[in-house]
Amino acid sequence: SMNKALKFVVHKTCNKARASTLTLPHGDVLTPVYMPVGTKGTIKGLTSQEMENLGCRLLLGNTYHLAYQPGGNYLEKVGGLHKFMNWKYNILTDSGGFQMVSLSKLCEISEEGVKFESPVDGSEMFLRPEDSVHNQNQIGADIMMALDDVVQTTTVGERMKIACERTVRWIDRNIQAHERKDVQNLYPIVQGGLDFDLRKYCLDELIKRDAPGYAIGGLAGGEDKQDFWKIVNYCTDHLPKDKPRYLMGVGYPDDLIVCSCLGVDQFDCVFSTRTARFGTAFTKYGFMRLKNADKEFDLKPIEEGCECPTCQRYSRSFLHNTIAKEETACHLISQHNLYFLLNLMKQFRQSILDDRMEEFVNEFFKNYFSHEKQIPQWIQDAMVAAKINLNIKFDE
Amino acid sequence: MAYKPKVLKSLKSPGFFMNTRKGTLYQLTNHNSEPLNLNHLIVSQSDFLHCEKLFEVLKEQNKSFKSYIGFSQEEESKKFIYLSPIDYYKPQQTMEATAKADTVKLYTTRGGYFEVSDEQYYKISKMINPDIIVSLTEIPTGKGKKSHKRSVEKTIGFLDKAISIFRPKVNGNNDQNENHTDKSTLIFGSIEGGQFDEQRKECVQKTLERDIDGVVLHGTESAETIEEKARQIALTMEYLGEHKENLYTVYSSKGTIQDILLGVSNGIDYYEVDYPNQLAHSHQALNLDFDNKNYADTQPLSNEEILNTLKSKQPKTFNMTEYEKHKESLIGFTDGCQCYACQNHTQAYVAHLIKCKELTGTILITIHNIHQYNILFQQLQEAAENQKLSNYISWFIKTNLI
Ligand SMILES: [Zn+2]
Ligand SMILES: [Zn+2]
Repeated sequence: SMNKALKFVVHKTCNKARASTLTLPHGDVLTPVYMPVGTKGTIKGLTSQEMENLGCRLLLGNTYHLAYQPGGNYLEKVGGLHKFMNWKYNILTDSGGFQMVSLSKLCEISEEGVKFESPVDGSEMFLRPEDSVHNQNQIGADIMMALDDVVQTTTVGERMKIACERTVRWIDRNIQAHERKDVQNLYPIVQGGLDFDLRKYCLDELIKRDAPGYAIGGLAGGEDKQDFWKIVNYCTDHLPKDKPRYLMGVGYPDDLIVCSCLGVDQFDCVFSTRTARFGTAFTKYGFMRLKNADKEFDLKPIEEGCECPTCQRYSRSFLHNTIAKEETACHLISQHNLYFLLNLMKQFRQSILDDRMEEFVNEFFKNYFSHEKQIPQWIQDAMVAAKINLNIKFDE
Repeated sequence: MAYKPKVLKSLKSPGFFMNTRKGTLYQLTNHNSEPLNLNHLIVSQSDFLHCEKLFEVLKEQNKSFKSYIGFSQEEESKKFIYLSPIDYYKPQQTMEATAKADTVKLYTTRGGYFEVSDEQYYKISKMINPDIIVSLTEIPTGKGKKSHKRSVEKTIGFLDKAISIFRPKVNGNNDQNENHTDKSTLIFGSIEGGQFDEQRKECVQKTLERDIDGVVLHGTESAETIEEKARQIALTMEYLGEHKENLYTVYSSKGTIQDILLGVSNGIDYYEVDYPNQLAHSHQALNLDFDNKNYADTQPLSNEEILNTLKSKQPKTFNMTEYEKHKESLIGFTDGCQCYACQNHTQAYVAHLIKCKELTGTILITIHNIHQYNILFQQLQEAAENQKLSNYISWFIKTNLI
């Protein structure tokens, strides 16, 4: 069993969905929550102060990048990432495994760890669960992720089974290596791809370890949406009700709503800021491409009524005319997108507290799919599982 | 030296106009630019040359240009726009000459040079409704006297056009209607003439004959040496004579520290400034010492000494691309600097961001550099009020140029 450096209080539920408070070493986080990704110690183009003003209380750092630059030993010496980037709220770090697999030439996975080629100088490097946890202890995140055997989501058969079993064997090494249990939390990651039996095996084994919280991994990897929600639903059915659940790498607005309804508490995704840099903004009516010609003389803000700093001052036209020339426009759209997701979760949470979640979800989907005039089947099916009545009629 | 502080609405002298990119400060969201309290921004007209239809839409919907570029309602009345034909940020020379008397070619962000008539230029300017309009000018085609002569003639013509559009005469009776002259936009006449004293003098004289509120010294960027530059500035100020007491004088350049010291030594009031952004773009953070307790006791340097120093020395900066050099510096850029970057972040963090090519690093440097310019001008103003400008310039040069 692990010590905990968190407190999780569920205030109210609506079927599977929960409105909770996650209290971490650097303050309270109201959940469900979207966690912006600040890979290398900053959210692209925004200062720590701006993130604070957007209402962010928990953001991500990537261990793989940070351990390489400025380095784990360095961060430990200067008092951790919080101090280094002057962020007084919470931080979550990943294990580095995912980046390693996606950015490096993978050499070999053995029982001991992962051998890979350094993308910097091509030298052979080795990452064991102990190394990942050590790096994350040095970074000092409030929530750390256990190193697991990462395979492609859609992998089936023997390789997925091996990955699951190894993930379970490695969790004890992760826990064993964790040196700051009183101030940092370690979440194990439920793997198993799209195989319910493997997910069950993983869930049973990891739940035995009595971790402070759990992550659902191995999704958002190009799988079918029907498979996606069913696995999420299966995991939240089995995960402990009194612990936070983090769905890794998922962050489209409709995904956030569906999975919050299914009982997920934490989300992260780089999409909001990445897509902003290409001129795409989130709105309650779906994505808005600010580079499109029809925005040239459109003096409305990205979203009318949005209270983000960007919408207070700038029009679609201004962003359209500026985006190709000045990076400031990208920063402004990022700011809107981050606010959009942070605020969407805040409103969803409030709707649970106010006993009007079903109404909120119906309104959200009605707006979000107003162009398509049709709710995707996977969402309709997921809502049945979440016991939420969708009663949406689109105008002709 | 005698220095008469003038007040342009909220602006003390010496003061500066900060260059923008399409109306916003380099890399900064309004949240980051607001604490810098810059109340005078340069808008480069070529950034909006193709926006005629946009301005019509703004007018239809009763929205101001200032609100379009992000000014809050409160800022609209206290933040001023200085509309300039020249943009020291653009990689290309911002202007090319044409054979016609009433056109120039302006470099636009929309792809290359675009020929525009003075009529068209001021029509757009009027739609922007700036607080200050700098008259259109033509950068001479060549280095010869002939092209400078031509440039001066065209520039004066452009000034007349500006006056006719921004100060239309009411009922043709100017004496009686003097009180009704529309002064919501101040007109600053451009001074060209390059190295040719005669042309420069002619340009100054003809400009002074017109109804203007200020003059902008152009064309010193092409000077080959700092002595030439200094001579051009000194001569222009001499030609302006006593008129300069009643006119706003502006020095048009990148606005380097050297430009400012040179200009202030010659009594110029205001400076177009883009240099802090350009430094930030190349990841250089200003490292100026503003602990000026003893400036008043510093012996003034002679003009020659000032020139020699400006020629050979540079303001101190941190090169934030040198990661190893800064990674142990767990302090802000400069001691006591009150900017957001210095108050909240360390050199080590900025150097890390720059190494990772994260724009937040550039943002923090921009904030700091502009703040340093704010302090420089505050101190210049204070020294001017105390009649100690020469002492301050000497102190600053000794302390901050290496
Ligand atoms: Zn917004
Ligand atoms: Zn500073």
